[in-house]
Amino acid sequence: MFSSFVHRFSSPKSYVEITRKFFPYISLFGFLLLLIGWIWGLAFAPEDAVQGNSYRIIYLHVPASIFAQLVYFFMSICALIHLVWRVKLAAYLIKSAALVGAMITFIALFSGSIWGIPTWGTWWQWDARITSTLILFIMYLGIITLHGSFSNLEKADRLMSILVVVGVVNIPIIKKSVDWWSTLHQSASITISDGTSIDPSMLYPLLISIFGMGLTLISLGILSSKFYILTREKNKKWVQSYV
Amino acid sequence: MSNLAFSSFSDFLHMDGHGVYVWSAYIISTFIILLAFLTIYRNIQLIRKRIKDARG
Repeated sequence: MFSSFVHRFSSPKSYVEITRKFFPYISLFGFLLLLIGWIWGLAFAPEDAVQGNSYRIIYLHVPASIFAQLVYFFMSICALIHLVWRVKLAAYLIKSAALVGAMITFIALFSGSIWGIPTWGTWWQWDARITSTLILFIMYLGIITLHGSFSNLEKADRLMSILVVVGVVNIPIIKKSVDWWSTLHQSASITISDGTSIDPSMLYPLLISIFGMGLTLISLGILSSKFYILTREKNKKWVQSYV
Repeated sequence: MSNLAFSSFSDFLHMDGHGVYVWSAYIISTFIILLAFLTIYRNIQLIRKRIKDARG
């Protein structure tokens, strides 16, 4: 019964129809929150006592780094759903989310490199967290490449899902890298058990930026998946009448 | 959101010498995100047109 439920609500057709309805609100709200968070962080939040103004990159770097990992986490859930219930939509979502993941991981690495120049005196170190994030970036590219290298798309979906599930070990490594190894990165400032050590004047714009970035990436993912679904199912009847 | 952290607009741009890092990070990242939106949006339009044309 559960699997018939999954199959009914996971048809690409209903997915495209539902996301189309919500897309304007998600994207508009996301852009707006990101804009508010960034303006607040760049112009109103106080200067950092140690890092000066270079710390303002935090409102870009931290949201980007969080979603670099969360996108992968989302993909691994989709991969499990695809492997267990053979849901096609789950595989479509992996393929389209990988593009978003690669982009945001690149931004996380890039913004971190720029932040490193004035703060650490270097734009690159083989620091545990930077290295594991670079591996994450390469994995996103690998997932896209692997899927593109098969002419049998069902087989490509399955192998891609297996690769995604295997690669999920990297996510706790990134998260824990700052505790396990001595790195240039500091350990977490916002934790569930101990609350936060960030002052509210800096924390609020950061939280707003994180939510804004999340919604912005969800709307990018909706567009990306719509493109991929239309491409993949272009010969289906519903697509013919949808366009 | 109480007070501006900078006393003038040129201070805001300069950020005590850190402006070049902060602004280049934000501007290039925003450009990448916008480019991603535009590229995907354009590709959706192209595939829709292709499907329509093939349908006749």
